Amino acid sequence: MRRLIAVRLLLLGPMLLAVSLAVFTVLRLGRGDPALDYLRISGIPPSDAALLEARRLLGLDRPLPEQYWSWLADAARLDFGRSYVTGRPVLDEILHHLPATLQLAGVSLLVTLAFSVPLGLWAALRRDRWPDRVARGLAFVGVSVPNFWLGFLLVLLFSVTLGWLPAMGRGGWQHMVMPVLAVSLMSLCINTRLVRAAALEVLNQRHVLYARLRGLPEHRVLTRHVLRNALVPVVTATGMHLGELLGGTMVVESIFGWPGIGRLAVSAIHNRDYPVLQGFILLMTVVFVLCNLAVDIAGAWIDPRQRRLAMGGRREFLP
Amino acid sequence: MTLLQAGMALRPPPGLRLASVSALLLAGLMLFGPWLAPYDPTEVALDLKLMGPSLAHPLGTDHLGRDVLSRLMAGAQVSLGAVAAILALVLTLGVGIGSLAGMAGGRTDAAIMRVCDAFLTIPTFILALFFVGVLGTGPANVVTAVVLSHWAWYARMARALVAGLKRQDYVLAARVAGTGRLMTVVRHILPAVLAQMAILASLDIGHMMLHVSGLSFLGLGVTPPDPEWGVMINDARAVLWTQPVLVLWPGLMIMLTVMTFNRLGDGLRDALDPALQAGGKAP
Amino acid sequence: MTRLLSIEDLAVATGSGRPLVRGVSLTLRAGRILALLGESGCGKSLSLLGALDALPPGLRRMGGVVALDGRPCAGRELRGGIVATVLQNPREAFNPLLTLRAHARETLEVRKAEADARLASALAEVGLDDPAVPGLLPGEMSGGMLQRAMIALALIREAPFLIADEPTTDLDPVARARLMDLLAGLRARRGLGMLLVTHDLGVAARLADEVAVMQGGRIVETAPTARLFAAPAHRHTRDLLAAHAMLCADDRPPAKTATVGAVA
Repeated sequence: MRRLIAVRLLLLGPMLLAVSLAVFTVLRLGRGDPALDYLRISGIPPSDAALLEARRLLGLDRPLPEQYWSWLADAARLDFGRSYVTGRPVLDEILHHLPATLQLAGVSLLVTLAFSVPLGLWAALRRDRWPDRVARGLAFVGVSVPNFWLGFLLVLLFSVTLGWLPAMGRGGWQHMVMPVLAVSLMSLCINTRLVRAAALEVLNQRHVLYARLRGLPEHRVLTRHVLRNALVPVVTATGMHLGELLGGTMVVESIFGWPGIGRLAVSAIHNRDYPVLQGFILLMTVVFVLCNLAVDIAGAWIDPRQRRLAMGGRREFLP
Repeated sequence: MTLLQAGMALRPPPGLRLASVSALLLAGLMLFGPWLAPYDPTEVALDLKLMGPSLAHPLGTDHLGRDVLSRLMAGAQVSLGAVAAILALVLTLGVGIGSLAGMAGGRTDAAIMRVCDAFLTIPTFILALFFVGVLGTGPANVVTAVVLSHWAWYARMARALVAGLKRQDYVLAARVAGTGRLMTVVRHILPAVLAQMAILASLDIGHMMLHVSGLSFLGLGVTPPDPEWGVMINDARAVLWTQPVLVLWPGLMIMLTVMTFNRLGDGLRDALDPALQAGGKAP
Repeated sequence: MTRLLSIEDLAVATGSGRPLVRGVSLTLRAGRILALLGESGCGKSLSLLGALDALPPGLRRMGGVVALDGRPCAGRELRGGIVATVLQNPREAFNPLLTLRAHARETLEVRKAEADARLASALAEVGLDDPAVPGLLPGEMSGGMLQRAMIALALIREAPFLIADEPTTDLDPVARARLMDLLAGLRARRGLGMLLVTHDLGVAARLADEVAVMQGGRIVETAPTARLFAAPAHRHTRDLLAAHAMLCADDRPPAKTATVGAVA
C-alpha cells in the first residue's frame, strides 16, 4: 500500500510540470494582453509608457521560455505571483477560499455515498418492484436537474416559503443543507443507478449462492458478498463523481454566497486576473489528483487483487 | 449496423416515443424559435414588468417587462444551438484525433494519448471554466471551452475502438485484398466507430447542456439582453422573492432537454449495443 | 449416530407455475454414496438447491418434505452445518475478493485461531498442505486447487452430509481420478453421507452405492449401482449407458472398475 502511495505521489511531480507548461502556454497564447488587463484592473490609463512599464513589471518583455522558467522557479517556492485585483499573493487567496469548497464538495460526496449505496442496493434486491421503480424514476429525473436551478427551487421552498433555512452564507449546518443537496443530487442519482446495476450483477454470481450454501446468515451474505463486491466498480466511479462534485461546487457557490474557490475563479475570469486563474487550475489539479489517489487507496483496501497488483505481489490473476 | 437499421429494428417503448417527439420539437425550436416567438424577446417595456400570466403573455413578463414565452423560444436557439455546435465540434475533433492515433499506433499514438491524459486529469467543468478564463466570456468562447474540455474523452474512446477494429478479421481481409489505408478507414472502420460515438454523444448531450447553461448562469456566456435559458435563471434570481415563477420556466426547459436526450441516448444504446445496458453512465 | 436425510416428493416450478422438477425423492445415509445421474439440464442441480431452499430468484419450491432422522426441517437449517456443499466450476464459486482463510473464518464463526487451525487440518486432508494456501485469493489458485479447497471448506464444519454438484466437470482426467480417490477416502475415514450430482457415469460407477437416474425433472429409476449398470430397467438409463459405452474407446461394458480413466 505504501508503495502505491509513494509511486503516485512521485508521479504527481511530472504531471504538475506538464499541466503547468500547458497552462502557461495556453495563457500566453490566449487572447488579450495581460499588461493591458493589469493596467485596467489597477485603474492606470493605458498609455504606451505605462504598458511598457507594466510589461517589464510582469516580466512579459522577456522571451517565453525564460518567463516560464522564472515562473516555475517561483512556483517551486510556492510563490504563484500576486493577484492583479487584490495585490495579495495568489496562494494566500486560494488557500483562503479552498477550505469552504473542500467542505462543500466533501460533505456532498459523503451524502452521495451515504444515500446512493443503500438506495441502489435496495432497488437491486427489490428488482422491478416498487422500490426499484421509484429509485429508477428518481434517478432518471435527478440526473436531468441543473444544479443551479435546483438551488433556487430549494431556496424557494426552504427559505422563501417555509423560512426554515438561511438562503445565503456559510455558518452552521443549516447553511450546508441546501448547497449540499444542490451539489450532490446528480452524483447521487448516477451513483444509485451504478450501485443498482453492480449489485444486480453480483447477485447473479455463483459465489453468493455458495455463501448461502455454506450456511452464512443472510445479512452477512449481503454485506460481505454482495455489497462489498458491488462496491468495487462504485469506488472506481467515485473518482469521476469527485470531479463532478467539484465542478458543481463552482456553480452552486454563486447561488448561496458560499465563499469558496468557485467564486474566486469566476471573479478572476471576469477581471482577467491571470495569476489567480493559473493558480486556480494548478491547485485544482493537485486537489483532484490527490482525491483520486485517495479513491485508489480505498479501491485497493476493498479489493485485495488491486492491492497485490500494486505491491508487485503474485500476478497470476485471471483477466 | 448503421443508425438507420438500428432505427428500423427499434420498437420504441412509450417513454422513448415521447422523447423522440420532444426532441423533434426542441430541434424545431432551435431552428425557428426566434421567428415563432410572439414578441421581440429583447423588447423592454417597463410598464409591463413582472406581470402574471395573461392571454397576451401566457407565461407573464420578466423584470424588464419582456415576454417570458418569447424569451424561452428565442433562447432555445442559443442554448440548444450551442450544444449542437459543441457536439459537432467534439465529434469531429474526437473522432479525427482518436482515429489518427488508433490507425497510426506507435509514437504518434503515444504522444496523442499523453496529451489526452493531461486533459482528462482535470474535471471537465473546471477545465471549461479555465478555458473561458483564457478565452474571455461570450457564447462562442463558451462553446470552445466546452469543446476543449470534452474532446479528449471522445478521442480516447475513438482510439480504443479503432485500435480494436484494426485487428478485426474483416478489416484485415480488406487490407489484404488491396484496399487503401484511407479507404479501409472510411469504409470499414469509421461506420462502426461513429455508431459507438453516437451512443456516447447522445448520452452526453444532457451533460453538455448542463455545462453550457451553468457557464451562462455564471454570467460567462451570453451577454444581456440576448435570451438564453441559463441567463434567464440568473435574471430571475433578482426577483426570486417577489416573482418566483420566473425561475421555473427556463429550468424546466433545461431539464426537459436533458431528460429527452438522456432517454434517447439510453434507447439508442439499447438498440445498438445491448451489452452496454448494465451500469450507470459515468459523467 | 446413524443419520438419515430424506427428501420426499420435492417439486420446483418457475414463477409462472411451469414445473421443472416433480416428485423427486432421495435418501442419504451416513457412510453411503448416492449418485444422482442425468443429462445436463434435467433438473439435478435444481433438485438439490430446492431441497436446501437456495433456488435462484424466479423459481419456487412447490412442495416436498426434507427430513433429518425423520424430523422435517427447513432447507435453510441444513445449509453448512448438516449439509456441506461442493459446487461445480469452483472458479466462480469463490468470492474473488476474499482469501481462502477469510472464506473459512466466515463459514465457521469461531475464534480466528481455531478457524485457521481447522482450515489447516482440512487442507492437509485434501492434499493442500502448503502453508501459503490459506492466504491465497481465488484468482491465484488453479481450478484443481480450488476444487480441493472447496472440499476442505466443506469438511471444516464437520457436517455429516456432503452434496457435490458435478465435482468432476472442468477437471482434467488426472485431477478427476485424484478427486474420486479423495471422495472415496473421505467416506471411509469420516463416514460422510454423500450425494454426487453428476452426468459422469464413470464417477457414479466408481463411487456410488446407489444410483438415481433423472430425466425431464423426474426420477425414472433408483437402484444399487451394480444392478443398475448390469440390468438397467428404464429406457433412459439404457440410453445413457449405451451413449457412455460408445464414448469408451475400448468398448468394455461400463463397470465399477473399468471407467476411472474414461474421458467424460
